[in-house]
Amino acid sequence: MPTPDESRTARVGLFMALAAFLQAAETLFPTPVPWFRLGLGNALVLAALYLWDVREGVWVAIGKVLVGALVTGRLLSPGFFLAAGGTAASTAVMALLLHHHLAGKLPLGFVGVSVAGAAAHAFTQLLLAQIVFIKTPAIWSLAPVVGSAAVISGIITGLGAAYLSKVVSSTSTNLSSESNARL
Amino acid sequence: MRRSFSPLDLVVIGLALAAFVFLPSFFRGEGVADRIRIVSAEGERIVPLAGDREFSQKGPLGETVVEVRGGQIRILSSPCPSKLCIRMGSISDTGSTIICAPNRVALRLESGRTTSGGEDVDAYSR
Repeated sequence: MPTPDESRTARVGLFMALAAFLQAAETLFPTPVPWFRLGLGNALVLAALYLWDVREGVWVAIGKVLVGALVTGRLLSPGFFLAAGGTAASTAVMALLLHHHLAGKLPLGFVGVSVAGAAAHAFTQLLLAQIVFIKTPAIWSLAPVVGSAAVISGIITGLGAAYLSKVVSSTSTNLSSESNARL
Repeated sequence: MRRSFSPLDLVVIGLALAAFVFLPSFFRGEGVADRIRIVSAEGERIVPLAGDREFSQKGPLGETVVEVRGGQIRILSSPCPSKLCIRMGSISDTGSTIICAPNRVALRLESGRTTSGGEDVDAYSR
């Protein structure tokens, strides 16, 4: 039987792969701003942050951006920097809302945390798009469209993360009780 | 176990939507619009808003056709896939913008008398 540490490593690896898959699949979606992403892979980052800790969440985020860019051949392209910045911002916001000691006073559900992350993701991408790509504040006129899309995808990823966390945490308890029984 | 949805989440959703809806107004200027700043892959140019006409602007995908009529502008046709720029409709206020990101064309209405909102454009595009 795998030790708890080994099974955690395996699960974090699986989450990274799933997040990278979503990241790559998302490039097929047409969006109003070239290289803009909805951030469906944030569901995996949020579930990792919730199930384990900030470190695991950051690993899944890195896997999502880096592996997702490698398989689509967009490493170091402008879209890669937008994705990296957006993911860094959303991971930071979600980690703060889940793990900061003040977060205990804010009884947010998965959807709330996820929408906050998605908003940070969209805002950072627009900001980076203005600085590196469009180079005029005109990009902000797209904010209502991009922001609504981000909020909707935040709700979907929040529900996904809640479901995933429930499934994974129930199978881990089964696993550990099983391995205890065999020992 | 954290709940998947709590009532407080509605507040987060509302705040996020409000923030994104009001973001564009932070970048609007003052004064009566009298000129159009065209930012494209070819560079920037400024044309007057007076005089009804149509003109086109070349981008990486093709020609974006703009209609100027009665102090309002809108995009008539565009080679981009989403046609979001056409659906943005007409604009007439200073600082308001129509943008077609895929074809890298941005149209911004400006006022010759005040430069608020216009200066940051220059700072980046120089």
